[in-house]
Amino acid sequence: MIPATPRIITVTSGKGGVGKTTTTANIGVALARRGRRVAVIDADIGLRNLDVVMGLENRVVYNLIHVVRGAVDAERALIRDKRVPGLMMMAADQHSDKDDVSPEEMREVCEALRAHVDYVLIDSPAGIEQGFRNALAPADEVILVTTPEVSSVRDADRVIGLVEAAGKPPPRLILNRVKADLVARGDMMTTEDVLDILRIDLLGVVPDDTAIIAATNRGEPVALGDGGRAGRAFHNIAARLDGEHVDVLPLDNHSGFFGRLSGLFRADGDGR
Amino acid sequence: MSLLDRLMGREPAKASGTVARERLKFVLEYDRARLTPAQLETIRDEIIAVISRHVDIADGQVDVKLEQGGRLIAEIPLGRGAGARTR
Amino acid sequence: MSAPREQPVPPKPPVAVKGRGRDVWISVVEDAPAEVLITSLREQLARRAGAFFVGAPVTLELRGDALDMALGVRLGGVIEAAGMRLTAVVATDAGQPLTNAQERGGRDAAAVPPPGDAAGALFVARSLRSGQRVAHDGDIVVLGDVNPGAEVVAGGSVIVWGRLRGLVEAGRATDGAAVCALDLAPTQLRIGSAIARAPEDPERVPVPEVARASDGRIMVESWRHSA
Repeated sequence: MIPATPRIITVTSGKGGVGKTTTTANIGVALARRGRRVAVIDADIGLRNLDVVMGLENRVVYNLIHVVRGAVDAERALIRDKRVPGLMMMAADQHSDKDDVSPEEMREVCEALRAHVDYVLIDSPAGIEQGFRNALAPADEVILVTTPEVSSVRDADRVIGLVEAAGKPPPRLILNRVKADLVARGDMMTTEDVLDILRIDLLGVVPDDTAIIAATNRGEPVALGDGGRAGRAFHNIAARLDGEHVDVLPLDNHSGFFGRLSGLFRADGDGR
Repeated sequence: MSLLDRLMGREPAKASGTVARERLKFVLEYDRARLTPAQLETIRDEIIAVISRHVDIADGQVDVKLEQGGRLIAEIPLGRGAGARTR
Repeated sequence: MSAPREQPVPPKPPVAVKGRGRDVWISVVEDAPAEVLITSLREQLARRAGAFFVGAPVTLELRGDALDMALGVRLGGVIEAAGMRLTAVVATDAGQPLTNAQERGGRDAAAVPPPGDAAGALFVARSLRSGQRVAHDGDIVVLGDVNPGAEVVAGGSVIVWGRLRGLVEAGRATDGAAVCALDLAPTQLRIGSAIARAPEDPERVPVPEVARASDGRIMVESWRHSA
């Protein structure tokens, strides 16, 4: 089945601190570098992260609340990233709170963007309350980001239930901050462990990469470049979202995981 | 693990990743079933009450728990006087 | 050229329009002159016009102790002009805890205001939940439940086509008022100066009943059509 255009994808996690915002930003960059028009929306009203991670914090003039309250059209609140044509971002408002936006208003904002973009990526706040419900409301698809740790997997499980209860399709998993050395020693759950527990489809595995810290410091998402383990994982995720079949990268050149992991992706129905 | 450990029946320490997986599977059974500890207690008491009407059971040893795949399992050891009671 | 500066966001509108399932709740969240409320609502509905709204049932939630029916009618006009159906008007006492509401039941009857121009039956086509209060100088008809923690205060009679489990006061402005419900189980019932509480009885079977005041006492009998 060919997904509807544009595709509205909410990126959520349950637990905070698992790298959801960084993942959203990098997927946005990677999709835009493939020629897609992408709007990335920060739905964390009251806090604000996406602009800083993307290095666009000085360019915010209008934000999501301006659009919701009718001060400007949705398009005017989009900041065009000069580094990547086709990449746009809408910031959250730091001085409002989650009750200042309703699920319908989020849907209306996304509706207003339909003509301008191929993808809308919504960076959901952590948690399972109103902010999460707002971010989820417009979604056609959901991406769930988790790390292979006990508390984040547990919270991810809860979120899967809530996503399905909201009538959305089951989320696809991005397993973030995977440390190959710990996995090899048995001190970190494997991708198969997490898939066995959560029982959702895998979208990608992102290895832990210290380059991310410097990238965030500079406001330059790693997917702007071509190298780096995390960067390449994000590019592969973008390719899979676009319908390509891409095998999972080996976590570590010296490990034997490659063969096992390549069987984890089911072929897309359209046979690409 | 040393020969001595094996002789003494000690099990090899599991890798923490394995422990994490097992703990998660256990705790998620309960999370997903949305059964509170209070509800489980009530279920256990009621099972004891009902079954006691028919057979003698060792109610101190009755155990009610959740198994993989969302099954509620009750283990009900019968008491020494077990056998159908006549009313 | 200097870097663009972030613009302050517009203030929160005094009327909030929110969907709840298939219904739309339009709530006055801040006191403001009627013209301001009307303009704000009209602007929001025009800007957000879409399939979501057309034909949607609307509950209009006003603020304050008693319904300002004049304002309700004007806001109702804006709602109907936008193609929505106004089905209920309720008042919510923002921030009033339940204990205060129970104390209000003990107010001196002499303080009851005379029936106003808006007397006539108020029709509430949905259930009332805890914290919501409907007050009207005439009769009130509720098509739905009055849940524990909700309040209905009428100058005339109160008819609840559902379960009445909250607080009800009838007959503040007239004699001979009655309270009828398909399940009469209010936490407190007052008609004029007579007060009663429903007995707590978990075994009770709900049956339609009508309560009237007689010699300062509440009398309850079954509510059925006379032959």
